[in-house]
Amino acid sequence: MPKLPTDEDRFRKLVWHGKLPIQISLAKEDRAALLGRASPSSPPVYYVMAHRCSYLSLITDDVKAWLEALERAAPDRPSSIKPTQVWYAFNGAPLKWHYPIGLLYDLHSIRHPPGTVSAKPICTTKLPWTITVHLTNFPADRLLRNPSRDTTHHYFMAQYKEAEFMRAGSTKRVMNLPREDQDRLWAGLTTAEFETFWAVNHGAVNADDKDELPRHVAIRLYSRTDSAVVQVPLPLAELGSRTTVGEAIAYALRPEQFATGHPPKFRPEDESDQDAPYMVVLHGIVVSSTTPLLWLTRNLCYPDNFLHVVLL
Amino acid sequence: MSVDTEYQWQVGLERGLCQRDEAVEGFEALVVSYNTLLHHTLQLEGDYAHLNDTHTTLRTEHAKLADVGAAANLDAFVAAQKRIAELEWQVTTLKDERSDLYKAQGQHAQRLLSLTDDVRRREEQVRDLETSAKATATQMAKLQQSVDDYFYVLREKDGTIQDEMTALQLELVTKEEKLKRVEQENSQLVERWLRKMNEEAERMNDTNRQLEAERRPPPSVDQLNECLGDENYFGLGRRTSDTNQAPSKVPSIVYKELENPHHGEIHTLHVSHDGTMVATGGQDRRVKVFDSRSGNLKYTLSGCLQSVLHVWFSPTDDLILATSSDNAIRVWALDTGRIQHTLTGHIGKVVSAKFDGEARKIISVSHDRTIKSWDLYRGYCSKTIFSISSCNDLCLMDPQGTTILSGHVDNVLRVWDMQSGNCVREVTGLHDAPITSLAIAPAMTDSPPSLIPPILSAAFIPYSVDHTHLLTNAKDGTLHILDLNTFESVGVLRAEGYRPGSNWARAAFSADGHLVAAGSADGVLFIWNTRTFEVQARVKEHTSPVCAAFWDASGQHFFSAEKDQLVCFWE
Repeated sequence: MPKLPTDEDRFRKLVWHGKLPIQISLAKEDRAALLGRASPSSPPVYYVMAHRCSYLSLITDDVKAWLEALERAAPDRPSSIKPTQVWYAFNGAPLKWHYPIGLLYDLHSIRHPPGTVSAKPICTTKLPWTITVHLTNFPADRLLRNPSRDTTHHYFMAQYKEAEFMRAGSTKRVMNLPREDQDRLWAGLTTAEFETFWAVNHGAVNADDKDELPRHVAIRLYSRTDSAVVQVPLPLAELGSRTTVGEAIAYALRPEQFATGHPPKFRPEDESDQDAPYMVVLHGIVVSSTTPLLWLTRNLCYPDNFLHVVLL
Repeated sequence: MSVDTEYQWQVGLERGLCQRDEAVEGFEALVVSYNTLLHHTLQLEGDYAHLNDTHTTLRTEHAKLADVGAAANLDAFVAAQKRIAELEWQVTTLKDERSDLYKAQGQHAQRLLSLTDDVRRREEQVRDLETSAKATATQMAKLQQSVDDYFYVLREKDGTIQDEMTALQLELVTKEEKLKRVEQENSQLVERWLRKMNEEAERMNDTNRQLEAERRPPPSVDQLNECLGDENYFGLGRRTSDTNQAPSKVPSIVYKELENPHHGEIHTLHVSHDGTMVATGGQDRRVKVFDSRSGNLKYTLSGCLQSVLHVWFSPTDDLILATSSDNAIRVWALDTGRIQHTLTGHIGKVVSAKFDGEARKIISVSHDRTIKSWDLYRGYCSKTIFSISSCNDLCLMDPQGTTILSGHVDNVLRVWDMQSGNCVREVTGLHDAPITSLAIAPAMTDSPPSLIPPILSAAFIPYSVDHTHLLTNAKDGTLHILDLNTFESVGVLRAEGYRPGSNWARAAFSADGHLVAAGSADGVLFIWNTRTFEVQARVKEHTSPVCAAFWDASGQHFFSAEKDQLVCFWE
């Protein structure tokens, strides 16, 4: 197993160990059904310290245990919780269980500080992040069905392969991984063990990235204002290895302008980003639009090797 | 991009991430403790609910029991008691009935068993009777057979008695013939006696002539004879010159038989060099020396602790040695009959030993695979040679004993230089079985033996330098004559029915070297002619394996010994 270079791991570890306190309360409409007649005045609340790289469907087990305990505390009721029917919402908006938790938080809760646009630490909604858990009325039209652990695993592997395809042009390296290494990827993610995950991820996928450029950058742009998701293959070889994240976003949003040979210029010297049309948020922080894209793909990816960037 | 700016934005990013984590950090402990508390609370609630349930059930049960107690009726109880007693009585009667039935069943089974036994016994009796009837029938047949046999035997006996009668008549005839022969012999003996008398007279005349000659200056040959001195000891010398005209004779007549000279088996025999004495050794640990003419016992030499394997006279016949299974060699002086040397040092039985030409040393071979040379002046071992195989017999190639020959149980003949102790030569491929004896031939020339200078033939007759042939005898039933210059076989002696009598069966050359004698395991003595390599004669007197056979130096007399207590003197 190759040795992990510690220098790079500094950011990878920071990304990996990022956590988010979540306060989960039972939705009003489910309270009566679950707790019966003795519905307490204050809603039952559950707190969890979730990894930003994890998925909501992975904390469902803990939430379910808590809810069952509540149910038992309320007498004479058979357990009625189906894990595949559990869903979460923030301010009434259903949360997509197949997004990493960090991305969900960035997408839903990070705001411009009131007044100023340029202030670095973004004013967020207060912590802990309060979301509600729902047991019925699964919004199948807005969320992927069947949010079980296995489904999440399959979805994660699909994402992983997609990212690999974009980088390398084929998924051969992932497909050729031994069964136990593939299992280790998932086990590393679910148990939040950095070494287990990165031993495979680094050795199998990122080993020779140093020498050759990835073909495309696996980047996904999320816009909250129009709740659009943009994923454009960024041909890094064409754009050059020094492409900044701002340039990349500009290319992604207006690729036809690149074709005409007039790429929109971000002004890297303008640190205040006054003219930047968007604010780039990644892992809960604002990233300067002058940050090199290549470096970002190597250091600030989510475990599925995508850069999930939220634009404000 | 410069290093600084790179560093700068990296720092910015790191700071951002760290601040994000710091904001979150506080919640970690809170959430953990919340979860613990929640867990506790839920557990306690569960416990409480459970206790509550138990409480209510207990209470209801208590109430039920109280109701039952109140409703219990005494009358019903009594009726039930009666009913129970009745039922119990029924049970007991039924049980009795059942046990009776069991008993009856058991008896029936018993009877059935005894009946089957009876049947079996009857069957056995019938079978016994049948077998006894069969046995009687066979006995009768046997008796009939024996009656027939007796008839036959009687008739046969009648025949044998008649045969015996004829045989006795035949015997009578042979006895008469024998008588005739004895008378003939008697006349022969008278004739011989007369001849002897004549010879004696002639010798007297010779002496007279010699006395006359002494007065004249002596011739050179006589001078040499005198220089050597003691030639009288080498009676052989005279005899050889005397008998040079008379070739060695094939033994034909036994003139003396010694029966049971030893208590136990005879192992060996040797003839003194002057031919006057015959020594034998055997299992009774004694060496006996007989007069070769009369067969009278001259000496009985004792001292060996175990059986005697080999005896040998010294060249001058004043000493005799015997080797024994007690690992020692003993030397007796024949004039006193007392032990002169007891040579110990071998660690196995000593199977053969020889004197050198001047009786200054003895060379012996033993079963312990060593060859030792003994200095008789000082009486101890002067040389030990280690061989790879144990050896059955040895011969000295020269009178000084500087080179010796040894015959081994690994079928190989070896030549040793006694000075250096090295094996000079190994002659292999001669025999397919252990070599039992070796003998150096006297000259085997066709020229008259008188051409040999009398001094040499006198002094070194057993070890003559002229005598360049060696006789080997082996268990494979062949004897080889070897040329000692080339160590190649000159001829093979074999005969139908010849098989050496023992591991140390000695074969011998005649005095003139023209004959070879060896005794076989069945008691037959085989005499070969060394010029034709053919069997010249087979003589049968012995009945058990012959252990040794020797001619005397004149070649006129022949001596043989068999294992089973018989020594024959032949002429």
